[in-house]
Amino acid sequence: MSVFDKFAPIAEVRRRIAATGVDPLGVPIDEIRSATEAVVRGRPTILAGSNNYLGLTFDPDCVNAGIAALQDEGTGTTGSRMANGSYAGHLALEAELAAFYGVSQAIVFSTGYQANLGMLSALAGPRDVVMLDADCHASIYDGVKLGGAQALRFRHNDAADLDKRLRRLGERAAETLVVVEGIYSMLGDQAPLADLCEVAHRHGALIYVDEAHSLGICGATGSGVAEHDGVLDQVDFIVGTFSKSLGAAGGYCVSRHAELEMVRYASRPYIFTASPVPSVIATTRAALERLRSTPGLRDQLWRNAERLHAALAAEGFTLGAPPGPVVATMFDTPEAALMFWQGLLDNGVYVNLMLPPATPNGWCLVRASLSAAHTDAQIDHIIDAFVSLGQRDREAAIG
Amino acid sequence: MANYDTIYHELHGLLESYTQDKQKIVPESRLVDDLGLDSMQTMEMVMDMEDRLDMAIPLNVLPEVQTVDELARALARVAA
Repeated sequence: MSVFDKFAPIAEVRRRIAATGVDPLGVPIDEIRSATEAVVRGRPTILAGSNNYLGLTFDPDCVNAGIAALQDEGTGTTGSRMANGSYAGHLALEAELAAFYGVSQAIVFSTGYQANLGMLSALAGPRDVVMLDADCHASIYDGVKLGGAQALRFRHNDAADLDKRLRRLGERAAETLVVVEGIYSMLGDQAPLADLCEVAHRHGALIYVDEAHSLGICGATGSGVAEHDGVLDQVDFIVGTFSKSLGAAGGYCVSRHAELEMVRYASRPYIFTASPVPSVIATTRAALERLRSTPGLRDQLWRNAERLHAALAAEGFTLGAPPGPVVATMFDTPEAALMFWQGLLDNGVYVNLMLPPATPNGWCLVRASLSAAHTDAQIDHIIDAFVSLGQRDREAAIG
Repeated sequence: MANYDTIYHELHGLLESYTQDKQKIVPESRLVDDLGLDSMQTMEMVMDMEDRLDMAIPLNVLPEVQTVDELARALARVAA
């Protein structure tokens, strides 16, 4: 018996995928040309599956901030935040994030994944209970597992179900951390956060919201669903990432609880890793300023998203959520989704493919994410690609 | 408070709805290798069992079990 034996099921899946001639995983980006364009396998391609919601990866302010930081601060800190890895930029970004959310505390992590790993493993130990929305991201499940808390799930976006399951816990509900997301990554559906907060607080539980896909998307200042739903002052922890609307890599947690500061000294994923690279901190700070000062980016993103959503709905595609920056089309079988995904790529449009068992409810999803940087012509092209493939599939079904 | 027999009966009924081709389900049936459950289905099944038994079942029990019998015994320990 070998340590590699456990990979046999994965190897079998990879063999079956290879046999189709279509591989949606690890698509090689030969050349990146802009926030929305790349060369993929030698072909000019529109990027409609990159979560680059505000299109800031090539923003001049962000790029120039990164260049200046590289020249002034070097290529990396080569150290943990607990050692030599806390530069002025790290501290400034934490202060700016706290101010943006109107709270007193913020911690920056090296990735969004590590933000969840680091926060949840520190907050919830073996004597604590975590109640997760069933559709939470893998980083949330992994963070809870790392901490060893008693992990329970409630049905996705269902406040009544959360209420029922918290009631079952009796007194332990007051020792529970309820974990949800603002906008869920697969379908782009939004949490009924006001209802969830009311239920959580009624049972004495704390509430933790991952706004990875909602920062820069909604709320009067663009901070996310908690702001949009008027419950910023009711949420105990907000976690987010720099790798979507802010165009970089990294993560954060903000909270009105002064005790967040203690997490720095208790969180292994925070302590035992190198701190974010100074140029990444610099571009992130510049992107946060652009997000804050340019609400027009958000407006353009929503215009693009609503155009695509309306066009696909009119063509009869089954869509996973109301209009939003994530537009997920649902297919009956993995094979149908796979071939549609390849068809889009052949038509110069890259989107994401999501198949069971990685998806809840056995969904087979072709998932697009829009950007404020998509031009009208690019949206037209994306729509045309979906429509022509949809017509092809309908004709094939009849024939 | 549910005992092993009650839990096994409920679990057996639930597994019949989760498994394809209505495979024969016995205590020694392995959830993944014999009944073909994936990780998502296993977690969904735990939520359904919570509703059937009206109790909280932490996901933490799952890594310890491979068979239907082992899962029923783990749930009985939680219930106790």
